[in-house]
Amino acid sequence: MRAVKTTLVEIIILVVVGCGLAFTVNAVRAKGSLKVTKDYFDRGGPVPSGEGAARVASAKRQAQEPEKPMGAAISPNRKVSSETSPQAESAPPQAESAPSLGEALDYAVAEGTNGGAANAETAKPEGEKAAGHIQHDYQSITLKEVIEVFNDPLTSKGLNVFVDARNDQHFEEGHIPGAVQFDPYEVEQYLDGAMEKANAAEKVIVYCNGGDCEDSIYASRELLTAGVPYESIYLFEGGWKEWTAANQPVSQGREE
Amino acid sequence: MATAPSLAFPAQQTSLIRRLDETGLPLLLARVILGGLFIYMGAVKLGDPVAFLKLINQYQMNLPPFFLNSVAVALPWFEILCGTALILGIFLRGSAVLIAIMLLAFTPVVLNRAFGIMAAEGIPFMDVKFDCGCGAGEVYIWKKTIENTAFLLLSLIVLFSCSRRFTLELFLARYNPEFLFCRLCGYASRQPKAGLCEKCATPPQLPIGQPLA
Repeated sequence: MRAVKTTLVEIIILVVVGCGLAFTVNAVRAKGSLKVTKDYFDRGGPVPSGEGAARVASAKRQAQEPEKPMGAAISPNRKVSSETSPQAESAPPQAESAPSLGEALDYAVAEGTNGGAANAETAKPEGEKAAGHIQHDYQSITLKEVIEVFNDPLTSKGLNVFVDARNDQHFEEGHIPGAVQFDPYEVEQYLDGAMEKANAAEKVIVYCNGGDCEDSIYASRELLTAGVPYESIYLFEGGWKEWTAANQPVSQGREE
Repeated sequence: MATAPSLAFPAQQTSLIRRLDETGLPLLLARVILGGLFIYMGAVKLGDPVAFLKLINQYQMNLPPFFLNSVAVALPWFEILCGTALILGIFLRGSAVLIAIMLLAFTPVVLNRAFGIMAAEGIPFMDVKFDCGCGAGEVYIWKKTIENTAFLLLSLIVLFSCSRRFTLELFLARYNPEFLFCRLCGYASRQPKAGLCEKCATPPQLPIGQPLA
């Protein structure tokens, strides 16, 4: 009995000291501290409206169509988990205005071009999880469109901006030239720099590693909360992996 | 008078296990391996709390953000603290219980996720590999299961060992009047006389059967 009592006292001491150390160090550390009450994985954007809504709605309609051989008309908003997030479920789909036929075709062709290879990699039998981004309510942009934006003269004038949602290490190892870093887990550190560029831009293209990485979704939510218009935000789901796989230009380190 | 700890071996069990335990070596080995590994794993998680938080989130346990974030903040420190306590040789049973609780809590969660991946991707269990968040990077889950089972066994050795040899607790026993182990050999004493166990308290018998004066 005494041994049990001693053991319990030891456990209580370890737990109290552990918690004290943990939360004290978390409060004072300069980098990597977590806000204990913050929901870092809230991907809920607003109910989409306007042209952006049309684009998202079109993509969702296409996702519900049966898959065609070339992988055409595959929505990038593929579900990974059989359980959808509460935020995604609660946002009602907006299909007030259909996109123009040209827009839908362009989008479908773009997806077909890029989706063929991707689908070959990620095609799974029915009932199995599909690789790729978890469903979100932001506008998606394909690799082809990203390359077009990257080569657009307006980009060098700051009217199109790339936002890298990865951490310092990944950003410095390589990023899209001209991209501004915005780690959604260190919002205070990066928000001012990102907003300075995003406020002046018409298109804000947010990317992370790609694949299952969701950091671009969380970064988009933070930008939206900070005041960047929904219609300006585009999620590049393929991310860094797809960019480098296509042998596109990269920058390393930090640009002053 | 301090009473003997209830986890001591009964007198009649002077078995190989007890004799091994009395040496203090199984406890020392368990402490060093478990303590070192947990300090390492805690330090890795502490170096990047955000990455650890993301790994925990991948389990999709639908926990409230406060709980998830608190686990990400506190767990690495518990690991480091328990590992340090084991290496030093203090709070041994408390550390062993906490480590056992962590292992018993997280191993089924990891297995559950592994089974989910098996079902989703149609791959055998032996091929399931992912970063479970332990600090060792991507690992095969069958290996991780065996490792965790071994860690659990080591923590049980620490928990049920009746020896305190090579521990800081024994060194500090002079300052602890309620120390429940023999101050000489560090073994649990059931009927302590002057802080010694029965063996150490019993004078050696001469061959002619006469005790030393």
